[in-house]
Amino acid sequence: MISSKARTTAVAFYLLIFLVALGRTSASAQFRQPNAELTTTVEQNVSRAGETIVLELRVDLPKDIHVQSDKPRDPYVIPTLLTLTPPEGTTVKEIAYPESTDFLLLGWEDPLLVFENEFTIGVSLILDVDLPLDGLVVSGNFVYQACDDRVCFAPASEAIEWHITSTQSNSNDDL
Amino acid sequence: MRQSNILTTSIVLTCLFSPLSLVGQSDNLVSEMSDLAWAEEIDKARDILEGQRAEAEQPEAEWLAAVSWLARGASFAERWDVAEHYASEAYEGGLKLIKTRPLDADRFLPTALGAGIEVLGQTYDAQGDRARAVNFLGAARQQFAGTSIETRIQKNFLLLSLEGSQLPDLEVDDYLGLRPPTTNSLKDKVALFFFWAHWCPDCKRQEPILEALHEEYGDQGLVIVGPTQLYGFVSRGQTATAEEELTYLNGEYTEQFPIPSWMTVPISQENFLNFGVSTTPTLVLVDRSGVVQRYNPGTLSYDELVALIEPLLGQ
Repeated sequence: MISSKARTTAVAFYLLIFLVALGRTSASAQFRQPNAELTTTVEQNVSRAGETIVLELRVDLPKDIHVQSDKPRDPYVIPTLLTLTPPEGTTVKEIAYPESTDFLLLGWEDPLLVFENEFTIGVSLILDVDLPLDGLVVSGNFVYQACDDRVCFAPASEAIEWHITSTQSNSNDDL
Repeated sequence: MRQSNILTTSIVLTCLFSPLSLVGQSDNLVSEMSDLAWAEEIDKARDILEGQRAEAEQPEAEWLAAVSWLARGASFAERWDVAEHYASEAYEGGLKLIKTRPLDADRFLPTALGAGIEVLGQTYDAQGDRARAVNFLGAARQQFAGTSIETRIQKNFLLLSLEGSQLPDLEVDDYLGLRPPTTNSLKDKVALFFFWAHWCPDCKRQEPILEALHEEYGDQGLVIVGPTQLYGFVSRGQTATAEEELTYLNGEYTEQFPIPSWMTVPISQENFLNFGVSTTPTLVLVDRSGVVQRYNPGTLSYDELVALIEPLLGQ
């Protein structure tokens, strides 16, 4: 048995919000696109409302495929772009892309700036203090344009979501 | 301490039994099969897949998508027996599932069925039976007209059937530079169609090679046509309406990359559909009688193109 005082103490001190990171992978079309596998994760650390959480989008590209950098040298290519629609009570603090690398096309003087293999884009999201976190969904859109060394694929746009599940206990009966 | 234990248990149970967790696990098999397919690690993929095979009466779409990736990987590796086995499973399983739900109602079903059809077509062709492959893909194209996998089937159908067929009619919704030729006006010419996109780096790399070909063979009857289409973007990846993209192509873009005098540029999505082009550049070489002799997604070198063009010019 747990005493009433203990329950109150537990609620007060263990008003902990557990953000459960659940991967969701997009099986994008195999034909028109070279299958960029997208996985969204939420930082698993215990957080409180009012804190900043980190959302991540991991992009896995097939071997020999690259996508354009978020800041390409060539303004005529289509940059990789992650956009978010932050739900009410949240604010996007920063979207951090990784360093891109040079990719030299045969017969082309200037190397392209690209992402290859696996890379992760991080999003810092500020949660309002009074934000109810249970069932919070953060939606976004990921645009990329992929090529290999001989062919380019049409630009792709994929909707993505981060599902934030709170196991916050508001009821004493749960304890 | 006890409260901590309760909370810990809650977390563990939540993670273990959340439906989304289960989705993540299914996705992971698809993702794993995809990675192994691209790496052509077929035996490893097959071991993993078979290790997770459940004896369910009706496999779900996620499972079939994973199966279809193994089929694709086997086709990449030209392991045609393996490819046919798993493509058949994905195809037949997908056909059963669409009796109970629309194809596009499940995000994995188009992947499973589209890849199953694609790999089966490729397998029949690789086995030396192109007629069977074309018939199979032609029937599938009709069956799945209007669905999300129609274009995929169309491309595979055209990959196998366009070579040796008459050039499709050239559509011109708009154009850059000089007015494009009609299909009829190309008779008695050797025509090289260069399907390109304004945002495509590989396309820009192909253009100097085409210019050299024009200089060498233009007066011998080689005509170069550069069909493109609108994609909804302008520079720096900004989204654009069709009107804005046309203005961009006729202005900022062609100021930076002038359309060469030797290439006409019809703009129409229809050409991409009719030629089954979904990647750029795609090169299509047509002989003097209007028959497609080469259909090539991707760049070709100067020497590769010369080897294809010269025999046609001599005809």
